[in-house]
Amino acid sequence: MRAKKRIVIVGGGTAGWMAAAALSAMLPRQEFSIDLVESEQIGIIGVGEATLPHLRHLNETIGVDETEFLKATSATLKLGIEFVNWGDVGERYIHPFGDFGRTIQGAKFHQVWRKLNPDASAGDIGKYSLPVRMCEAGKFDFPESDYRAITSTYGYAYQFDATRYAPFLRKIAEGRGVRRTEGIVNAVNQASENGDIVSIELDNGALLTGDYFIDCTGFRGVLIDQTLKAGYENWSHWLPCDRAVAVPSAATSPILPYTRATAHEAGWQWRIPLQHRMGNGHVYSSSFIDDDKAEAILRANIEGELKAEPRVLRFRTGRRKQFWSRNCVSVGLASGFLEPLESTSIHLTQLAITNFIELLPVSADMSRERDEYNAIMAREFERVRDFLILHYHVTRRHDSAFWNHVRTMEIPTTLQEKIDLFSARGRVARYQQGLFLEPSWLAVYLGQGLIPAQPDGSASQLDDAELAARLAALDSEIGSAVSRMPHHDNKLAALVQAGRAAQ
Amino acid sequence: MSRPIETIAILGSGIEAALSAFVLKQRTGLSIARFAETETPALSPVHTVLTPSALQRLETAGLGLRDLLALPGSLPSLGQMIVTDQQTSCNPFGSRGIDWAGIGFHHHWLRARQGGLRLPYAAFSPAYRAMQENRFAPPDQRNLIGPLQHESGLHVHPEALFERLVEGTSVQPLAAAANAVEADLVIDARERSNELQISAQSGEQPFSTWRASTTGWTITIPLRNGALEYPLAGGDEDQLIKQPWRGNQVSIGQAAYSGPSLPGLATERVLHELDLLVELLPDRDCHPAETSQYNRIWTEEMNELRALTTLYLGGDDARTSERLRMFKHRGYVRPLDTDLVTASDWVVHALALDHVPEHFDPLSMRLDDARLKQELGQLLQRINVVSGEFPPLSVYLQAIDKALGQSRETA
Repeated sequence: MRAKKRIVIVGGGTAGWMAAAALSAMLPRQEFSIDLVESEQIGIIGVGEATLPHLRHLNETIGVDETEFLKATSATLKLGIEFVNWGDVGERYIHPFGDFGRTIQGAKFHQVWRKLNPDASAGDIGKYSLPVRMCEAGKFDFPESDYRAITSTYGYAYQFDATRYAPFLRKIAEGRGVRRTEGIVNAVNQASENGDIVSIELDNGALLTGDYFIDCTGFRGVLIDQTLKAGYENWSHWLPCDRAVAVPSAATSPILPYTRATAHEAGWQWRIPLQHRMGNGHVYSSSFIDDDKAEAILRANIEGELKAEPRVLRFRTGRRKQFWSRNCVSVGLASGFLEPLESTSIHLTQLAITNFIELLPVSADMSRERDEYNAIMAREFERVRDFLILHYHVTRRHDSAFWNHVRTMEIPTTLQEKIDLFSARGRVARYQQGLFLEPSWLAVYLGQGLIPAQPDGSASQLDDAELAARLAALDSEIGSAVSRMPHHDNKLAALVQAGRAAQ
Repeated sequence: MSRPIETIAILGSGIEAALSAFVLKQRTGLSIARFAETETPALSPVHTVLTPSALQRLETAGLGLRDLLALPGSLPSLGQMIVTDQQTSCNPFGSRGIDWAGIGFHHHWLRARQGGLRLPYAAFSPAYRAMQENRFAPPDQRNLIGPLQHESGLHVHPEALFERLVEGTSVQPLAAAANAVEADLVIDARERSNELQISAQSGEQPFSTWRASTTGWTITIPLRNGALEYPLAGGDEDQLIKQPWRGNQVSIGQAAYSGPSLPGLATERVLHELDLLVELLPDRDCHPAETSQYNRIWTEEMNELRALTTLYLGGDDARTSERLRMFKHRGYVRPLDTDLVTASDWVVHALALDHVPEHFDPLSMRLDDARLKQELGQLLQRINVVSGEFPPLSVYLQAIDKALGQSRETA
């Protein structure tokens, strides 16, 4: 009988327990054993309260019951992100998890919209997105599976209490045989011949040996950085925010089905509604404002009563040069940091885990898997990075040194090409792989006021009056669909109380 | 003052130029003129195989399967038979097996193979047995295997295809210099023509044969009235041009990349180039951002096409060697950013060439041995029932002839 491969996850928290739950759900038990080491003395950052729809797939893979999950993590349902003051002060738009309109006689919807829009007769493009209208009305219902129905044109995600997600997953993972060990890593032992990690020693004297180690120790990177010196690629010249001050506040009513990101003088503020509280935080650049001012701005822009003292987090935007080094894979904040402007933290953690599972070594020489993994994760991080930079760069704000800097800074060529392409005739650069697809790019380009110089011509033969009538019909169809939906508050309460099956 | 694009001039005497004229006329409605450098069409045998994907693209452009089947010589195809000194392997179009437990079927097959299974990977397509027994049927979702369908392509006589494509397109002699042509957009689709050699022999078979030779491969493509044969070998002129779209000039097909491509991919790539061009075609002026988007996507597609072709022809291509090394190690192919060549293309071609991975994905073990054996057995049984119901190719062709004849009478 073959010996089981031993996987040791170092660090609990969201990343650690996501890894433990996913690995224990996916890997054949007869082949692998999974240990997780964490210490109650080390707090968790608990970032990533807002998520993307992809998390639902991971939850399904893990076998999470949605209702149980909503209850356990005090989650709310999420249809997108509202961006306030980004294009310019006083402007707002919603980046929805869904499409804008429908293709009309071969012409993409946004091209039709652009054709009709020189005199603004088509109105805001958000009007033709069902999830945007649902957000504005505070409504929620689950999408239908019939792709022909307008009510199938969106996805949804969750906003949840990250401090409760880890314990929720822990229960599932331990139920599947993951062994948890309490302790703090005191020493890391490496093989003299190749530098692989052989074992870790804990402060309580315990020794854990492993074939593969997963570093979920957050910014500290106890294994990936302190031991293996995997290096860090700094992107703060493109994403200059380097601190966040966070504080929970009392829940407000109604609970809205979206996250809000409000741009301020030198950064932006998140507002994430949960069932029992509101998550708030101000992400800012310490080169442009100090901590006191950042906190004052945050306090001045919170609706409810504060439920704790604000705490400051420091970070450096970028990624590990090697996400996987020797026999150690970094997951979560140990692998890099991109500000949570588009709720990508948990998604990148999820990607790290699923890619590791897909590339689990099959022999002692894991160099090919490692190189492949590093290439894939670098590509994912870079594509998310470009999308985040877009939010800062495509702005007309000139009210502070920060905005003047990000508006005029040099950006990666990969992003500049995308912007140039869209600016010309509204075309969105096409990629098969990558997180953000055309509707997301459209939402930010158009939402921040980057209107193409002209439409691409695909709708040029179509009659304006007929197109306007089609848009009016769509507007009405969406309006009617939204009117039939329950309010998010009510839907959520019913779900939590009775379970989705009863809906 | 921006100038509307109203006229497109296409340079070339072969199928690539005719395809360009046909697709662009159908899909843009613009005024198209083709300028030919020779009076007789320059026809190449590389455009004899239409893959399932090429058929779909042609359908979008307005040339349906029914039309193509009606062309003299057209013969339905299930894929290719690959013959080397060591083995003969069947490589049907379409997928094989079911991705149980979220893992690619080839990992399960590999595991079963290591446990003693003797059947090739292709045996888990209904087309496999049909190819051995000279039977044919198009995919039919209503049958016992539901979504687990094979796919079908078509062999067409280049002359017949050419004639069908040029119906209704004006052709003018090409002046000595290409820049003498006046148009808002100029498509260079000039291609090298190989002599068409139709052999009278060869029975009707629903597949092409790729036979390894000392210099490369000999490709035999059966048609209704004989077979076309041509050599596939690495060329000297296989450099990609860097910018196929410059200003208002676009090079398509061999004019942009003259390297060899696998049978079927030669035509599919031209259709892909045209689809991409239509997608990015402006109604006025060619914007540098659009041309560079075309060039970026095109370069990536051609690099992948070249890498897959190198798998057959050998030669220096870092992508090929790196990907093959990884595949042979553990059956993994990275998801690709391209349309023409996908990760699953790599899996089927690598296995058809007997590049069998050393290890399977450990996630296959989520199905225990007994369950895997049972699932494979049941799957195979259903596949065999379905493929056993395929009629002999000759019977299928008679039915097609009858149907087309009836439709002609009706018309």
